[in-house]
Amino acid sequence: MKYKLNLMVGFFVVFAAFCLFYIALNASSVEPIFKEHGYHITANFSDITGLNVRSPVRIAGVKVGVVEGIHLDQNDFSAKVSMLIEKQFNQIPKDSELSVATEGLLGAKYLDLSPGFGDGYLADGDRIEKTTSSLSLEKILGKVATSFTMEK
Amino acid sequence: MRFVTQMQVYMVKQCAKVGDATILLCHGILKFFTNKRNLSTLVTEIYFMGVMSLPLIMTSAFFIGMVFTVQTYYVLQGFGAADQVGLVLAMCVFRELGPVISGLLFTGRAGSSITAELGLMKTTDQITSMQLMSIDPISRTISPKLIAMIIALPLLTMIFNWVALIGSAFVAQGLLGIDSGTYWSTVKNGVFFIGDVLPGLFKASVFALIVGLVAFYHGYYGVATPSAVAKNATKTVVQGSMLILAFDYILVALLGYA
Repeated sequence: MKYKLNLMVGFFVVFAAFCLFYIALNASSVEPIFKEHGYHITANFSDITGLNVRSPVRIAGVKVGVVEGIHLDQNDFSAKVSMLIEKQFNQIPKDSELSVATEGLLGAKYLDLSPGFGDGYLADGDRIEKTTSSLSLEKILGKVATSFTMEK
Repeated sequence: MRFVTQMQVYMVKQCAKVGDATILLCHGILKFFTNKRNLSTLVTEIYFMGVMSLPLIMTSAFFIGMVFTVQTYYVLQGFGAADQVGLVLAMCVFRELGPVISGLLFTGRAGSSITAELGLMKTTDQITSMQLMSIDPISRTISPKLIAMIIALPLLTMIFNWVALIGSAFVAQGLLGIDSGTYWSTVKNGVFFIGDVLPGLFKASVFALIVGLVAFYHGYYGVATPSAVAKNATKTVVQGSMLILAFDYILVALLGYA
């Protein structure tokens, strides 16, 4: 009886451990605890409404990094975004352009990195100069509305 | 004036009860290691609290996962975001529903039985006779049960999380026609193991302590007559459930994840 009891409790613990491992491997991603998996770059935007820390940075839709921090630059009151780019993507040209893009019409915001053609690659601590800020649906609708009224 | 005095007396009495319960709980944890035989009793207790609760926990989890998925699907469909249904379920279950519902079911299944057992031991003077034989009743009866609760409830929560996810995947992929790859990739990208899954398990162990506090107090200090034992078991379920829900909010606020 006692042996059978131990066996059942053993099964119980193993089953629970299996459930936890299954969730850990298949249904969740482990956050990067050690942040030495890549290099850091920064960029200034005039408007980053909707962008969050941990939003992805993508080239042609493929995730290459994440947004690490968003701060206000007190010199020109622009938004300073720092990003972590994975280290295997180490051949991104220096004159690449960053823009805030949206997944679908109403989806989450991400940063779209469109590579340039110049010499030299982005390295740790670099700053991207060419940026396009987020285009909000409200602003587009506002512009369309004003253009219609202008034509009349 | 008389009313105010009565209120004051009542409040002091309630505080004394909370104090009694907390001291009992601390004794229960500390005295576990004073008795060598507690380790083998622990296995028996985990069997009765954990393994025997599995059918209840797994059935509830499976159907909660299925129902939640169907209900959320119709709401999300209105926004054209029906393929996010797995992520919504996983977030809700891992963060809130898993620990809270496991805790509530555990209160009903294990908490009430503990109160009834201790109450019956008191009614039949078993606790007094232990003290006469200089056996510590807290170390002998409460400690192994308490440690078993703290071990069993997080394990049950892990199982609840997994079964609810499988139930949801079953409905989403089988009946609602969501692609299996889409389902699992939205879940995997949206859920963080350290930020979303582990705090839920931490909450589950706190809930185990709360259920233990209420159940042992009503069993050990409650009035020991046959009708009072039944009332105490009811009190355990009611107060345990309320405290779990209240502490759930406090823990979410303290852990700072919303």
